[in-house]
Amino acid sequence: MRIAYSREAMHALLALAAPERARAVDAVKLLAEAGAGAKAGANFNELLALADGSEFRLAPFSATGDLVVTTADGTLVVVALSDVIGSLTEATEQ
Amino acid sequence: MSDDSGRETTVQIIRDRAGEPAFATLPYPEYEELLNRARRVSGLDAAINAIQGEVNRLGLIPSEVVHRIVAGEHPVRVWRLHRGLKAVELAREAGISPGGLAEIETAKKDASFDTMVRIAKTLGVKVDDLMPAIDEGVIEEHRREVQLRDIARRISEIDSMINGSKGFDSGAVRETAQHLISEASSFMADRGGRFDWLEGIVEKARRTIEEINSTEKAIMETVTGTQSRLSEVFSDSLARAGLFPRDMLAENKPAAASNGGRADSADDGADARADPAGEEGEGGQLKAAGEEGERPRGWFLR
Repeated sequence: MRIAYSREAMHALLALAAPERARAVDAVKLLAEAGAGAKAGANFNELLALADGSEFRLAPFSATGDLVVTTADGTLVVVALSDVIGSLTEATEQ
Repeated sequence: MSDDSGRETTVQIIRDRAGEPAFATLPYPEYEELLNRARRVSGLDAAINAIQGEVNRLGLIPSEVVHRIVAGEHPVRVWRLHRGLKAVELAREAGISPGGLAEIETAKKDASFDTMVRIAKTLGVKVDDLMPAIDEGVIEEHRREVQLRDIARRISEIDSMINGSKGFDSGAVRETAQHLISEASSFMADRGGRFDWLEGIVEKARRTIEEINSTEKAIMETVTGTQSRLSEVFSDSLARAGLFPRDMLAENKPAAASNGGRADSADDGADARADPAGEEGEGGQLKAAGEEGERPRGWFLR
């Protein structure tokens, strides 16, 4: 799958410490590779959905960080990093 | 109790005359729980709407750009190549020299804000999109440079205050020395190592403050003592003057001042105590105010 980032995601990524940044990019690449090898979007079902019926998923890249991703036209879109909306993980688990 | 759909509930429905539900009563803990859930759902909806809005704006950036910037390439270069622009083209459009652009792209030089605005406009991005990836090593190096620059500036300020041509302000020197100690101590604490040269500077700053405090204390004691002795001399003079009219006393004062500050008296002991020249000889800095023909007003540092 191709990969694209929202501006917010790019800025959040650049603001991370170098090791976290590398982990996040690796996670994105792995996710895109898995998505390309499987049926379109199938792997995303295994990721934590933001809410019932939501097309956005949380993909962990470190003990404290998640990527908020979705797919659009065969592209994996990194929408945000969970630093921005970290509390949503907690909210969706309740 | 059960609701209309047969589920068990503690909620009581109060109906109107037509049999339609009008009010619902429920135990307070359940009411609180409902409120909490509503807040969570509301927050989640707002967040999802915000994300959806972001995606809809389609401000998406391809990974080729993001990954290269993340890897450390300068955003100006990455975006220029992404837009298919040659360096000379971007330089011309942005109104800078190709050499200047090369220095920016290789992070050898920071561009001015105006230049970055012109580059961003030419590349069709926002200025903050041209911010390079943050590198902790670079940040630490920058922080160290800033701290050292501050320390050097304090040293230069103190040197200028002490040796410069402007008037000497002991309070300003003390304050700057205190800043210097604080900044140098902070620098050493942040890095946890031994910095003999910096410790030497801190020690000199401490000694400077001690010297100022000690000198000021001596000055205050001198001024207070002299004031007291002059008061005695003046009182003696008045006593000897008997019932001299006030206007005659006023005429006599300048004569006393021009006479080395001595009170006009036959009392040699009193004269010696009142002589500010003695104080001048000790410190070399203290002077009696009042040149020829000028009334003495106090003491100051030259």
